[in-house]
Amino acid sequence: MTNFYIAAAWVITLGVVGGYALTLVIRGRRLSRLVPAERRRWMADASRDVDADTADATTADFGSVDNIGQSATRSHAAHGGAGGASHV
Amino acid sequence: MTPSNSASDTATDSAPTGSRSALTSTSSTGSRALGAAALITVALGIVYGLIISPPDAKLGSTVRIIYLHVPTVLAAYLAFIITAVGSAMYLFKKTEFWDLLASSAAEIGVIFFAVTIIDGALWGKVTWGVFWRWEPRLTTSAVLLLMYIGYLAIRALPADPHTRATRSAIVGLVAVVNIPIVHKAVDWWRGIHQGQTVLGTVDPNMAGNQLFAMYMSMLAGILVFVWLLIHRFRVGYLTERTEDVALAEAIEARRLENVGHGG
Repeated sequence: MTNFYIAAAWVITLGVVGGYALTLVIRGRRLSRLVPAERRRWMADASRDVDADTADATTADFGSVDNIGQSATRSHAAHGGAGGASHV
Repeated sequence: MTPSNSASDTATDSAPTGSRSALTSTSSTGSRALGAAALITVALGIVYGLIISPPDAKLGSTVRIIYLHVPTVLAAYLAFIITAVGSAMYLFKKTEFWDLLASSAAEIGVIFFAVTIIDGALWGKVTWGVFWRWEPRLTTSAVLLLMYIGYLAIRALPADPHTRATRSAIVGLVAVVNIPIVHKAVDWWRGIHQGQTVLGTVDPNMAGNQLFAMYMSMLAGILVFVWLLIHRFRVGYLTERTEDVALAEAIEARRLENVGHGG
């Protein structure tokens, strides 16, 4: 019976985390089709040259989200200032 | 008011020739490399944790559940700490980046912590004979999980983005106080849960393949967590941009309507 609980723990852990990862990938693909590539900052390098694919990993992932943070100031200020304008 | 067609067309039209899937996903060169590294460590963790690692002298085969329990709780703690940092920074800077970082980490933290509790319950069934006991570590853990579920519930309430982010940032800062309580519960109160393993380092009696399996699992847990965080952040970012596109389309439609009436 011990082996059953061990197997259950591994199946549940890998299943839940793997399933969550899969849903993220699927949601990301669905949403990416709705947003222009130039507005997806992590695509900056790929948009210029997809085949090159040589962008520095750290810069591609984290340098870009910093930029998002910069531009996001405007985004939240606009939403907050409009008092729920997103529900128009 | 779906922003589907025009936004989709814009996205695909602006893309140069090349890997289409790379242009319509949340992956990048860095995240793909990280994902590959995570998969390799997970595979090594499975092989060492289930096959190569010998049974423990005290715990027997149930040590194989500990190879899951420790990495998942480590990732959950890391996630909740990032949530607190993101929350504090949001209250200070008021930028979308910190709000998205905090909420993304919280969601992943809840997943990992729920799995931690499930693994612990399965381990408890084998070791203690019951899935659950209301002892200090387990009770404080349940409270911690409920607090972060509350955090996610607050984010789901209808509100403008700034209000939602401010409310959840306050909860994110309050909830993190529970982590040291959970961690020290085994020292402060008498219970049946074993002593600290995560931040007090791994069991000092572990060695050889057992120790390697534990470290490999911990590394896998951290890499998977970081990969999930990057992708969850990007999904959150895209969700916000989709709402922006929908808003812009609504404004444009209203403008054209007014122009039509005026003409």
